[in-house]
Amino acid sequence: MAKVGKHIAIYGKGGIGKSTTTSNISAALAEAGYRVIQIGCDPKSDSTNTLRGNTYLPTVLDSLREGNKIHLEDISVEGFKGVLCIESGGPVPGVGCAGRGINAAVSLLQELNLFEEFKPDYVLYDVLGDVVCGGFAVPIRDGITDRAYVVSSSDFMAIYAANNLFKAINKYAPSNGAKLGGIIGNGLSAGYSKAIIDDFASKTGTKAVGYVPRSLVVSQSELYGKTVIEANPDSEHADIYRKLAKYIAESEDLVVPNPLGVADLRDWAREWGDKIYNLETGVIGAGEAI
Amino acid sequence: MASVIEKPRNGCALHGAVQTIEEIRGVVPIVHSNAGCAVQNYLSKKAGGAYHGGICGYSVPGTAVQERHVIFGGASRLREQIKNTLKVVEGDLYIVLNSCESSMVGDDVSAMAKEAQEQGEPVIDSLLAGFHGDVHAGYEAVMADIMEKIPLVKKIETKKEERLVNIFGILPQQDIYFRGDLAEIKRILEGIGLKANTFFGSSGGVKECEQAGNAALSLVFSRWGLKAAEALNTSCGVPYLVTDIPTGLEEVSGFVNRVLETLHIPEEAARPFLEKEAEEFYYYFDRLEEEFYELHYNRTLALVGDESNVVKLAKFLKHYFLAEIETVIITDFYRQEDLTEDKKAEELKSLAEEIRFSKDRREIRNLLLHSQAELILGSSLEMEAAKKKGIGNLEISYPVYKRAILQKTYTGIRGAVALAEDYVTKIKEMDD
Repeated sequence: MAKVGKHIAIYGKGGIGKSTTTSNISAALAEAGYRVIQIGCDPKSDSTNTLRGNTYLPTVLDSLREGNKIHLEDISVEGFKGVLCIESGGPVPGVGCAGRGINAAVSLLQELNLFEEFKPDYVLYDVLGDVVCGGFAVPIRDGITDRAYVVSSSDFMAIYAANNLFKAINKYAPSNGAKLGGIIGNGLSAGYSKAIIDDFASKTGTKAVGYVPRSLVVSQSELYGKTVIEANPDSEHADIYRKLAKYIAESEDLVVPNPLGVADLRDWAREWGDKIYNLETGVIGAGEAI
Repeated sequence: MASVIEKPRNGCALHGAVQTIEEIRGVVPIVHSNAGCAVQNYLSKKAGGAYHGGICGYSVPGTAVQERHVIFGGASRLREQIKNTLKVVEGDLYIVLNSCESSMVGDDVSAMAKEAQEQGEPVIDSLLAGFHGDVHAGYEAVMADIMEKIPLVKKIETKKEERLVNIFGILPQQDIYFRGDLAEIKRILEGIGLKANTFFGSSGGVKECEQAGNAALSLVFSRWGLKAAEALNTSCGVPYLVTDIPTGLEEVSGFVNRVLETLHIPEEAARPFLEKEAEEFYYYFDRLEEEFYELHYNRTLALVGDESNVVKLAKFLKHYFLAEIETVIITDFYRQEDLTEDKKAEELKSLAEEIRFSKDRREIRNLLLHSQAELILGSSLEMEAAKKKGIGNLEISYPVYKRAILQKTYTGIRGAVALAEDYVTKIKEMDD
């Protein structure tokens, strides 16, 4: 299959803001005049909600289950500024194999000549949480995407999930898998959040490509069922997303990350635990400037 | 490091379960897998010397799951298949077998079996997946499951039968002589006044599975029967005795005496039977005496096969024909730790000079080619090595390609005579 457009996978721990970030990047790219497809790779199938005003969209796998012939128009809808929204869908929680579902959905989209038909400039895959099994690594395997970004807060579990993604990239990159574009810091509130993400990035040979602070504007836009770009286009956050989108669109700075081992990651977290405690209680270490 | 295994002779655990239950009369398998799992077993066993009967091969009911059942779960497809099978296939007991896909997806197979049970249908499940082991593990698990679960679906009279004995550890179709082996063991047990539950063979069936809990003793002839015997011991308090498969007069006498001792029956009870057996045994073996020295029966041998059978044959040939067992290659192990836990290892060391474990045809062939063996006892896969060495290959283990085997056995007294016939025939053919 000839690749049309840049294909970008966005990973991150569940609830960390992947869909919000991805949708805002899609919206910003569309606003800049690009043709964009966003594919939600999550059984929850709510990745593209804010791009299409929460309208009903049958998922790829819903259509596959029906067993009828599937047409692109049945499983896609154009949202904000023409972003083509697609949801892979999946089984109900606790049943079946969602990983296989992602695999089948991506294969089906290729069979339907989605990319040749739509001719996108950018395709964004919003992928469920940790890389829990082979199925969730499909978007970064076999040359489907050539770059992945990970959304992470400064919480340990989010960084743990990012480290897991690095492991998957590290494994698949040598065999034509995707490389890492960088870390998108999201929902950052504490003063030290940025420093934690930067430190993790430098330890793993990667970098942070943008920081999205925690904000009421994001929550409000979500509640309106819209992206920040659409609901609050003049806000500071809309510009943050535009800048992020521009970087992702233009950057060719891709790396194969060096994930930390389990023990190293734990030790690294513990060091930060000490640092944060000292910071909050006012202990100043030797050589630490205030 | 990964390595290649050439022509491994054992199928998967699902295959083991399928071939086990299709040999129990009255049992209907329902296989929850993609199309072909049961048929593959049928075809390989058919080629390898099993003479199937009953519900097997293309007539095994199955769910033939497709990708959508993997993604969305296949439990409702299974429910449908159980319902339809009950309608169109007559049986006394329906056993739902799991597969690799279904295990990975996590279909709630037990809930489907339970649903049918609640409607009064005799449906049980065995949740082993193909990847849990090879055919031996399949036999081991499905027999234990039957023993544990049959009281859920059958009204069982709990009346102890002091003279009833269960037979575990002889694997249908994997032991190529299993019908004859079971019949001979049953004949011996009946000869000393006991009754035998063989489960398989002409006298076996679901009824025997129902009665297993009433037995006074379970006999375990290979490690693969232990789990079922333990299950019965836990649920119904049936004690068990782990024993080798007896071949030859001495072994049969020892076996009989151990069984009687365990059942607290005086040994005298078996004396008339053993005397008669001895008479028959010597009648035939005396006829070989002259040739024993002329033809040198005491050849150097290499044996390839499952542990319990190899031990049985090695003991007999060493004892009665003074054969030198140079190499023994055991083929029924799955994990490396099985080897270190092998309780038979010591016994084997006393029988053979070299003991190896392998399922790799190439490795086995090379071991045989480098051995000093003058006769191989193995499967049809060892024929090539035998030909290269210009020696005979007496088929004792699966697979066997060019023979029809129905009642034949190398077990017991009659089996000892049959083994003597075939062993001497091979020697004569080679010396020709």
